[in-house]
Amino acid sequence: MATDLIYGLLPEHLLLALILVLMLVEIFHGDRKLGGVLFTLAAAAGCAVLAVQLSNGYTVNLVPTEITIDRFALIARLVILGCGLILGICSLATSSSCKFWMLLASSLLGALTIMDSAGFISLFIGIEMLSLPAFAMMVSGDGTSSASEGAFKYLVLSSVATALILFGLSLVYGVTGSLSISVFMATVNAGGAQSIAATVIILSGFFLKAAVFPFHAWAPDAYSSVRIHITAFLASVIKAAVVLALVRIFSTIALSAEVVSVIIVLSVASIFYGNTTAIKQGAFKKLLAYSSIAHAGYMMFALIDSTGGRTEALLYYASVYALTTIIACACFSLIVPGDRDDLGQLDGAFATHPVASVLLALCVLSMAGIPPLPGFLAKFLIFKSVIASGHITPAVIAFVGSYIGVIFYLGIVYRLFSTASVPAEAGEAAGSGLVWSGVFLGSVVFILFMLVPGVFHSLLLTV
Amino acid sequence: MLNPTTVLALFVLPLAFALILPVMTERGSVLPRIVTMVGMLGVLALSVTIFVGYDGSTDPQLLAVNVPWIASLGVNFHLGVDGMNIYLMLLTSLLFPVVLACTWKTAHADKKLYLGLLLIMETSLLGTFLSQNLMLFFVFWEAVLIPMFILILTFGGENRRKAAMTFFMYTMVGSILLLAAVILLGVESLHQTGSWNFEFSTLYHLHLSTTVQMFVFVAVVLACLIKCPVFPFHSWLPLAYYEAPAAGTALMAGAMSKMGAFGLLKLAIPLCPQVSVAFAPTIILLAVISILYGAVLALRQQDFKKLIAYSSLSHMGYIVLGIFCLQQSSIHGSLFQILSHGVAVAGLFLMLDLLEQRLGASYKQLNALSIYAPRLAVTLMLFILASVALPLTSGFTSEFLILFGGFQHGLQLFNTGNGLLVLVCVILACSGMVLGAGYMLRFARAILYGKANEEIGMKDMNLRETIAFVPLLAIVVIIGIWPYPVMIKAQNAVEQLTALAAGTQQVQALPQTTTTLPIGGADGH
Amino acid sequence: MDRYQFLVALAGLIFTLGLLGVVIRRNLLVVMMCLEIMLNAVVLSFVTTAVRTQSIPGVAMTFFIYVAASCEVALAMAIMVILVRRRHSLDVGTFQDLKG
Repeated sequence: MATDLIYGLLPEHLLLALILVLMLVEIFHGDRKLGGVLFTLAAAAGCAVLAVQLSNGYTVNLVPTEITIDRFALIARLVILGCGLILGICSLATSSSCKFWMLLASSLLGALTIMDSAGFISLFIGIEMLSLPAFAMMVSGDGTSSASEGAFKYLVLSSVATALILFGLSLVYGVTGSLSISVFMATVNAGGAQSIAATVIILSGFFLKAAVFPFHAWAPDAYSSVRIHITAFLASVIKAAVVLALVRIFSTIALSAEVVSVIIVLSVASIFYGNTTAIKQGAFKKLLAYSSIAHAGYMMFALIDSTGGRTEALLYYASVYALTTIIACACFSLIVPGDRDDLGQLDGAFATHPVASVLLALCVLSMAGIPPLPGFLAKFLIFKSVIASGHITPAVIAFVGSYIGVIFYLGIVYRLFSTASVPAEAGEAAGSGLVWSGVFLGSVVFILFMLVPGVFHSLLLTV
Repeated sequence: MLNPTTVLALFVLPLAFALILPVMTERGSVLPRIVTMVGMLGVLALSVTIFVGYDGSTDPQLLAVNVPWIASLGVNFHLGVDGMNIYLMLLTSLLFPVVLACTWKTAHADKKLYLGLLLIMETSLLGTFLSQNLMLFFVFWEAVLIPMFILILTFGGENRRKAAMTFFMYTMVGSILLLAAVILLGVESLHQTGSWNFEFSTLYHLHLSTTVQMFVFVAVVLACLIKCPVFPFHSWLPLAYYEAPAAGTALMAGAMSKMGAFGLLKLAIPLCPQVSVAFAPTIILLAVISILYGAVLALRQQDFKKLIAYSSLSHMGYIVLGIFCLQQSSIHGSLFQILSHGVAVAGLFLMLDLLEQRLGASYKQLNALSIYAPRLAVTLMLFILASVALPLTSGFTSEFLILFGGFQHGLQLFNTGNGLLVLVCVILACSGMVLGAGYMLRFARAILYGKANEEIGMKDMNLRETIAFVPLLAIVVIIGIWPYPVMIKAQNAVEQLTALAAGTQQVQALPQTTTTLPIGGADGH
Repeated sequence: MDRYQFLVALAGLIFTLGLLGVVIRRNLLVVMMCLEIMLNAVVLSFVTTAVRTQSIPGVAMTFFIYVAASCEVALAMAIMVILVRRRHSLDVGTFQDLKG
């Protein structure tokens, strides 16, 4: 039992040890670079451990009704930790103190806890541990007041979301008398006014955390006010973790018709709103924010599936989306030096930074859903489950919404390949070698996703 | 030499060369161009081998590559040569080296981006034509758009941004509905066979209800008519064809437009036979309007490039007309027209580009070419005659077969009391041939003859360009004089298609399969 | 209705008041207080059910909620100090740099 506790939660223990070591390094004024190196080692070790556990088919019920390691837990943790690793490598070049790495590790620890949970207590703890360090990351080391303003808005709305989730949980607790997720799912399916009210309230809380349409107002402010590697973190890991938390709760069970209609309306509205508003944006981070609202819409759209393809589709979509966001932000920081955010800086970038431009163009087209890139396959997986569950009209409407989205993504590709009238500086930013290694690693995974889209399907099946 | 590796090599070769290109660092040297040319010629050699070795009775397994891609969803990487796509394979692999040879000395060909885009486009086009899996077909159908978009954007004329965006967004509209139709077909195969399967061989044997057939037919036809383009959906044509660089226009008119026709042959008719037969008169009407509209607009054009663009609109109408007459002769005619028109229009656009390379923008005021550059004039005249459908050229073989099949179909419908519409349409299409002769010969007279201006000195066609045009002219002449050995390769496929449409192969009773899924069926809520 | 339903309804009412306060009030500190009101309403709901069903998870959740709430408040106060140091005002209206 004890060895299970250590081995089963080994990635979490590694991150915890990392946080403690980093605290010691900070206290004894160790080398700043050491933080980054230690983080990379710990994250890579965690990924290796998870890969080994996955190939052995290791599952264990650690704390009954609270923490369970099943195949979804292994795969989801691998996805989150992998994205965290790639993001970490890309951020090695920024002169971040050990605090940044501590906060990043804590946030990832929270995300991992969410994926392990079989009960709402650990899910709630994980969600809190995911968001709190993000607030601190947004303001640490940044002198501008806009960062604190964005962080405060994010904090208030995130806390409201948490309160909503908790309130819904208390209603569920009132109906079932237990805080285990499987009992919750059984009750939700049984119907009843209080269960449906609870589900809707919990969903509202999660939608607020993921910035889906009516609850999206914090996203543009929060994303655009911070430095780009933090934007990448917010847009990729946190969003993916929230979506996968929903998958953890709802797994493959079909939701009731009322809840499904609510989700359809909100996600389609989100897709349209995000895509339409992104067209007018002139700054990269704001564009990313609005497009992430649309992507949250696509991900929530997958929840209405009743054929059981939801888990695989959302795992694939969340990982592809997080990966492309990280690579796109990294390439943008390579092309546009300093902290400038203007999309006009991208004009004619192909002439001065050919490889970065091509990668950025590929990521952006993948987010637009152009075949044969992984973004298209991700959308295909979602839409095929939705259509197979019988919801054809919402799917066609969502297609139209995604078509609108192609416009601003094409606009970015246009800027990259247009011939600029003013030749931009062709200089290499300092420390870009590290960013390149992160981008290279990300691109390899990107190509793997393109060649083997069925990877999550085969991994989810019990060996 | 016929084995699956040949087919796989056909697909992989351009991609591999495109990936080698960025590694070459010389800018302005000839090396990237030579390497690209080597790659394209390799593809041409493979494709000619397959073409010559293939006859109607070749075992399909011998020329197919089938690798599971998303195994749980029945999406396989399945490329295969069959009677339907063999002409298109030859056309595509032929056009690319010719295009590169003709644009060898332009400023574009210096840039590795240009060469890389051409190679990626070749891979995507070959993938579309060779694919035997519906999902793979869709993936490549869309994937062709990206390199063409970037090509127009980077190397096009003044109005290139608008042209590129219009081209991309307009074509994508059809693709969205097409994606919904593709997924719907997958769901149907899930209901009927118990597992997701996108292989064409499975999908052709499904029993599709009329509603599903309608939706799929409308979606596919819309996407294909936008791609060709055909009358109501042609507004992107003048802009895109005019603003694209010469290589882009030649490839768009020569190969990409044929994707639309291929989609009709491969998707619309076999998957929805009953609805196709019912809607055939409407599509024939649209095709004929397209023929006449393109011809009338071409008659009024002063700009040569726009004239050829509208003539392309007109000729694509013939292809669609031939396909929807659903007779063996007309489908053979359409396949020949695909090959002939592809070659002829690419040749015409490339010749115009040769003139532009020599004279700059003032090529539009050119006349009396036959005095300055006889070889150029003769080649241009041969392509014009192929376009006009003079007997002994491939244009005549194709248009004759199309109109012959059209008359057969029209008379059939008339005799069974289904009205005069198709017959009238085909008669109008014949008048389209006269109009075609009109604008083409006017173009020939304007550019080739007339009073010579003594100051203009112009170089005639050099060796490289001559060699480039020889294969195109060879196809024009061979199919014009002796089409039978080429025709026999497609015979089986065409027979199957017409039998499907005529209903002899379709199981008559539609068994009412009650689905066991409690959630609503694929028809909607 | 019996007292348990009354208490849960009361918790719902307090929660709504808190939510309203977060949206409407203009003072940063009052917004934080309203957040705390919301969380306390949730605690009330959990404890009521725990007493009614005589089960432990509800009570355990209470501790975790308070811990999380304290951490949130600590972070919020720190960010508020940065904000107030710039603008010398606790009014939400002065922080309108980001237009969304």
